[in-house]
Amino acid sequence: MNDKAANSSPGATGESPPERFGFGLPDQEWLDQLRRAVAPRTGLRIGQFELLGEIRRGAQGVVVRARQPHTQRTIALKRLAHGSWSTPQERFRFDREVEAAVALSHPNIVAVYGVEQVDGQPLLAMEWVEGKPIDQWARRGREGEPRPKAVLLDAFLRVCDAVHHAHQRGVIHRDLKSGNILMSAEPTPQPKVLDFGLAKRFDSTAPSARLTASGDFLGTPAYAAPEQLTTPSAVDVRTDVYALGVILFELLTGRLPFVADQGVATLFDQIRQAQPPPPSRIAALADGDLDAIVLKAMAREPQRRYPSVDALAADLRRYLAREPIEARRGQRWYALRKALRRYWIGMTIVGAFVLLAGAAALALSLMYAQQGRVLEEVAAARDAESVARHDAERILATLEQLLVQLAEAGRGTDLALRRDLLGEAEQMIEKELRDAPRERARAFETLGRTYQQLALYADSERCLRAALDLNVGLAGPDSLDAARSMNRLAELCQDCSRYADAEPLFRKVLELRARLLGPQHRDVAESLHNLGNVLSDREEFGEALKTYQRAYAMRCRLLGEKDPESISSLTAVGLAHGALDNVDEAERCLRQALALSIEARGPAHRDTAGLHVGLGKVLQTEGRLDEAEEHLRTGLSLFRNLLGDRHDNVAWAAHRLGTLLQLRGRFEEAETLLCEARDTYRTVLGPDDPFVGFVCESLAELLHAAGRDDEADQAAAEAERIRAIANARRGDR
Amino acid sequence: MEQSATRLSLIARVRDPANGTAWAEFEQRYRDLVQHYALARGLQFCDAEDVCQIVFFRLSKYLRSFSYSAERGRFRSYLGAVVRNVIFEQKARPHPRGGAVDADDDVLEAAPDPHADESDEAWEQEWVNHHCRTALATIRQTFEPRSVEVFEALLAGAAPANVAAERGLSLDAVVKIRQRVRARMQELIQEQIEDEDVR
Repeated sequence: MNDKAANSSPGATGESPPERFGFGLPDQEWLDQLRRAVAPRTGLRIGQFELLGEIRRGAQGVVVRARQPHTQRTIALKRLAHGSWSTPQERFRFDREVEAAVALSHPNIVAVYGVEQVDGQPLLAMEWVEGKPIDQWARRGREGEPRPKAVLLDAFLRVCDAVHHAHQRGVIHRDLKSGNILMSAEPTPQPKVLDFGLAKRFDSTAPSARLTASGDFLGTPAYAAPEQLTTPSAVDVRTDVYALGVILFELLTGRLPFVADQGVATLFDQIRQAQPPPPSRIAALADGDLDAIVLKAMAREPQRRYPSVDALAADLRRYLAREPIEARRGQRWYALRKALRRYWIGMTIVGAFVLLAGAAALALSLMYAQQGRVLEEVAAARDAESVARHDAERILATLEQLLVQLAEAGRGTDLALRRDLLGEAEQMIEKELRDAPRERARAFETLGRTYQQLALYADSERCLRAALDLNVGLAGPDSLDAARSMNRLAELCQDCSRYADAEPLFRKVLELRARLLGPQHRDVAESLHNLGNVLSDREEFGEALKTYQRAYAMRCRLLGEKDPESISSLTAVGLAHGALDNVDEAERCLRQALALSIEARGPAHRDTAGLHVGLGKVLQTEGRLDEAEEHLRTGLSLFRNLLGDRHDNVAWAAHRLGTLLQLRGRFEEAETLLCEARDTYRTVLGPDDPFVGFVCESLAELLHAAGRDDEADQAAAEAERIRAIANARRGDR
Repeated sequence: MEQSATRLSLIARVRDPANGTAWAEFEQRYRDLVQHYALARGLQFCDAEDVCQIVFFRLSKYLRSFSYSAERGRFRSYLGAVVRNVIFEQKARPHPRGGAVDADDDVLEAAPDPHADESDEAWEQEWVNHHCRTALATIRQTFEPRSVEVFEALLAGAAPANVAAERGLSLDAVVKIRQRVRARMQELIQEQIEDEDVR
């Protein structure tokens, strides 16, 4: 080495690399020198372990491959931030976390063997996995060609199963990212998730440990959920749901939703405020349904995400089975259906939130098991003599899971039993989350929604109002949290037909969002659309039309006209025109929405099917019965293919077509369709649901026209019975 | 050796607080050097890791404000001085450690003297090795897999004629690959060193 030259020179750029690096030497000598320079270090030990040389660094922190002297077993040793516990209590917590990680046994979780003390330092000993991070595995070769979608989703679902397995045992990952998921080597690559439960608190390289004194963020925060950036303590299972959403985005598109190319501060702002782009705009591998799944998992507010990783996986499985997905329910389709319903039937009804049917018994048994676990958690927290925030979150997370399963158990099961369980849940919230107002507010919101789904409106309202009060107390009356609670309350009022109560709430939410988020924002557009719905409920169709038009214009500007939300608003504009007897405009809008839907989502999509039915009805009003029949038949057949026979959308299309055929004098086919619609509604929504009543009315008309008066009277009496129940519920406050 | 007038060096980019990715790149590039050097100085693996943590913690503070910018090209000796200081402090610590290593300790706040102990031969050697490893890693990622395979065989000590015979190549082809890699290595190392400039 020419040190003299190096040191007398003003800087490295002034030196001559050819000499320092042997480039002046003959080829063979240069090669010899290079060999010595790059030779791996040998003979190093870490305590009793022999260091095998490989060091994995970066996303996973520092991991070395080492050999255990006695067993000759190859293991991975991971350095933990020493000094993480300066108090015995912290040490206790650490031991508890490690125990939890050791207890996890799942084929897709890297096994943790325990902690090895080396030179007085804790090293985490775990299974050594030969493989590469899942994001690198997802792309093949130099061109970065993605693997087939089915292969990617299969791997992702295994990751979800692993994470869910840990959640069920009370272990939250907190730092899920592609670098923490290794795909084992070919020929049968399997994902292996690293660092369960240890990443955030104890990992020396995890984001929380990587802040400089000035508060700069040194790591990549791309997988961090917004709440991790604003309130790092607010971590629960939905934080992992968010990170999984980012990973799914990355697998589908080959890039991250937000990147730090304009600095970390901008990245933080994006995560906190911006909506990630739909994956389908970036990569052909994604489509509208996958967009919805990713965006729901990555919703800014945890409440809008999937409540559990299991729910995310279930939706993805529905997608793979070509079934309608949950992520799109409640937004466009539900709003569309409600609007269509009001326009045609001209009646007000109580909410008919469609619950998942089946598996009720299983769900109930799971519920009991989970409730037991909540109580254990509470007991454990008491033992530690502190219901710290962490414990409150774990209680909340488990509670929320329980509530989701309660709702999913369906209406057909024992209502009294479920009401009792919900009552117990409410007491638990009151008692155990007394000192954790944020968690309490969230728990009440979830509980309120669960009551709402079970049509227990008075209980629902009590809980939603409690959540609203808490959020107002925490963030003030003019905050987004308060607006969210208010929105939920408004939706509840709308569901039980209290439109006069719902309208001012929706207006207030709109005003708050416009003030806090700016007048041009996706959530503002959503508020406009919601307001349009309630105005339409109140049969103020002129006002509703104007409001829908504003929502539509804003969504087109922000999201583009092909976005499902824009199409939904365009559909609503069309329906409002229809209600105002502007049939030409109604037809024009619905035809345009249909064309856009076919273009954006394909001809065989559920929303497309709904638009065929909607357009069919408008054409029927115009007296163009041949065209109307064609669209109604197309819609019905699409729904059948997509959803099977037993679905309320199929019943809805069958009802519409049956009514048209009755008008055309084809009584036999009409009767078959109407009976099918009635029976399907009964099975799916329950025997007292207003939709059953609507079909019974149509059936009564048909039977009268056919001269079968006795049967007609029977059907009319059934319709009357259901209407009385609906009216009674409407009075239930 | 003029550096490009438009391209900012890695060090200059790291000094820009708005540039978040540069820091990660910087840390990724130099962590390996710091750790190798610490291990070569006889530190335990865990102690070497501590040294890395503390060194990068310090650099994150000093690189942005230190008057180091007044002098060009001294990054190598500056980094060496920081690392040596930290190793010295680390060795002076009593073992086994009971409490936390606090990166905010006063002793760590002292700005290192960039001129201290500049004639550390071991550091110079590690620095050279480090640039060779970094450039070779780039070669492995960017060259055709077949060329990389040939070069790895040569690097492992195989004679060019044998490498050619085993792969059904002409000797000339093997020699050309070696020349291409060598030329590219030289360019890469030059770029890496320019990245240590402050501009």
